[in-house]
Amino acid sequence: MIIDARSVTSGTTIETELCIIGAGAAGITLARECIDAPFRVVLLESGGLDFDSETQDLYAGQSVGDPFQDPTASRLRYLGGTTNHWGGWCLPLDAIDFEPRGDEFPHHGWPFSRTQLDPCYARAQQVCQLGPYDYRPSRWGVPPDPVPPPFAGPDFDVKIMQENALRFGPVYAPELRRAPRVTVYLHANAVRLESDGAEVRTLAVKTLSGNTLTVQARFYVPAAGGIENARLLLVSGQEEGKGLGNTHDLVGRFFMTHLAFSCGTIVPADPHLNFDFATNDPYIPGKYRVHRILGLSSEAMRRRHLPNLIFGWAYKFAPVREAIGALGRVAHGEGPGGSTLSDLGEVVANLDRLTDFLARKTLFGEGVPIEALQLWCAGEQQPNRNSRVSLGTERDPLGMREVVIDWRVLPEDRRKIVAILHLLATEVGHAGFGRSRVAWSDADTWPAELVGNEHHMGTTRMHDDPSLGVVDANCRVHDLANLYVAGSSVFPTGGAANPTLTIVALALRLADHLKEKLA
Amino acid sequence: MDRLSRRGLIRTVAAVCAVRIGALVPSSSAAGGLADGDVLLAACSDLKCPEVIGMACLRALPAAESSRDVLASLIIQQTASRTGDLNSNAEVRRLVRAQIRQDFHTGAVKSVDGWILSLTETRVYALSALLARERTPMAFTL
Repeated sequence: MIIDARSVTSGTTIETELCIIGAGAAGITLARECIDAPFRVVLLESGGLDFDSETQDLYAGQSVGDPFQDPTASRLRYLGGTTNHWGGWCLPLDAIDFEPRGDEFPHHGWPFSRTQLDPCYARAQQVCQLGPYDYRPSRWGVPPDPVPPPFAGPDFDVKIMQENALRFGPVYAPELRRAPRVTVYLHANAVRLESDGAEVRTLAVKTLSGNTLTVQARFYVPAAGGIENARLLLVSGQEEGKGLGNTHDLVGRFFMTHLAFSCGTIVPADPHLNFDFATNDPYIPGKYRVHRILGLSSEAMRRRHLPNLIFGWAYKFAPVREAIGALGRVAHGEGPGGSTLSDLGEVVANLDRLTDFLARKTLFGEGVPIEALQLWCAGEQQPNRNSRVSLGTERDPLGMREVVIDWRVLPEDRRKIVAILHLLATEVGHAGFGRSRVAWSDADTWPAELVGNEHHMGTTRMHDDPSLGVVDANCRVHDLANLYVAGSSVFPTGGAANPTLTIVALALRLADHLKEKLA
Repeated sequence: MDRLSRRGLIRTVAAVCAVRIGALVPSSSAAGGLADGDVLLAACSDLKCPEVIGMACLRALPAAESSRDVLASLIIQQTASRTGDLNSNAEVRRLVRAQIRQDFHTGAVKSVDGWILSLTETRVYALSALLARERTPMAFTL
């Protein structure tokens, strides 16, 4: 069922077996997995069924480090969380993202391998309503032959991305509403976990309307996002203390995002370049789409000691493309008012280009010439202890201390990203594919577009050693027997893949674990 | 290399430069109304003409490489190890193209206003600009 916490009598204590804090991709997945389990689940959501600015403003804080995207704009705080506006881009982390990489990449790796997470990734595909868990390019119609060098290896290769911007809130709310042992409380803000040192005993919940509730559960799972998970742990425990699970001063540290920005332009030597593997529209077998993107190969990462990085591109077509569109509209008598005249003008002005295009199209089957590929990239950030989320002195309307975001990129991050861009440009030239202009050729400069993005990771990082991680391989906070964490805050390294598929896979894995504990 | 043949060499390289950088990358025939060189230029808002590119390349090179003779010698030195007829424009183009690929392979590249160019093509561009300046010196006073 779904209940508005503002309608619950203030002072009520809610008893349950499992309390999940946050109804985004992780929280909803966890709750859904427990629908048929023989125990009660409480799912707390800060917002309601729709956006409201008063709740959204609870994300407010300050940024004191490198330029960072404002969480009040990038995250969403209502049922479904940030899936209410995400792009739906999904791909698993690469196997190398799970591996330790020695001194060249300190703090890299997970306590388990990609292979161990594969079964959960396969289930996550279903939760995200994607296609089969198969990210081999050959599975999606990309045989190696048409991929032009240098994108066919050894330094770069084709990667697959599946896309479905599934809104977890509206899609899964009916199921949650019907579930007899799952109760979703809307407008219910977790403000403090109380612990006896060995276990969490209660959770204090407040509504913006002034209600105060208490949740008593056997297990608690913050699933509120990479910043808010850390915030809740830091404000909890003893007054003015270090927070919960923070014996080794790790909560909020190692804060990472993906280094995403427009990284340059490739001008192909052949405007009719053989980009057949990617020039068609995304394949749409059903509700989801499949994109072919490019990335640094694992071999290159290992051999050249580089971080993970993926590329996408937008085509800049020759001006004849506009004229072709205009010609089509004129031929079909489309265009209201003056636009027909404007289309005619476009056709007449480009008559020579159109003639040339139509002749080549007829004779050789060629498409519209491509002037340039405008590249974007998303790169892996090296875990950095000094990049962190901490508490400020300001308090929000619920009395919680606001966050201070001190996101920092290391000189190594800059140097390595620049090295990858140079490698790409050099390989493009060597292959005779064309020439590249890189947006970032000097590690000392800072591309204006590069800001810490919405992929918040690492603030409750996973590690088997309590001195190096907040949670263990099961996502349990090391110090506490009944406190777990879900979401990208547990990622010890973030690779280059968009995080949601991994968030969902980890939530499924955690659900299996908790169901076993509660059996 | 004696003076006369160097002059011949400069003429040859000038002929190569005349087709500009677009012809130095493997190209198909022009399409969509775009000449080869224009394809490169079209995507680069602040490198509006080959002379400007050439001057940018010249600035990217060490000061010692700011004369046409030095540039021509360096270009030929690089390509000299390749067998071919240096009196043939087509052959020089082939050799220079091969050297450009080799530059990219060995990492002998220059960053010119963000463009990653091979050292050889950077020199060819710079030489092209110097030769053009000799022909029309006023064009470069601005």
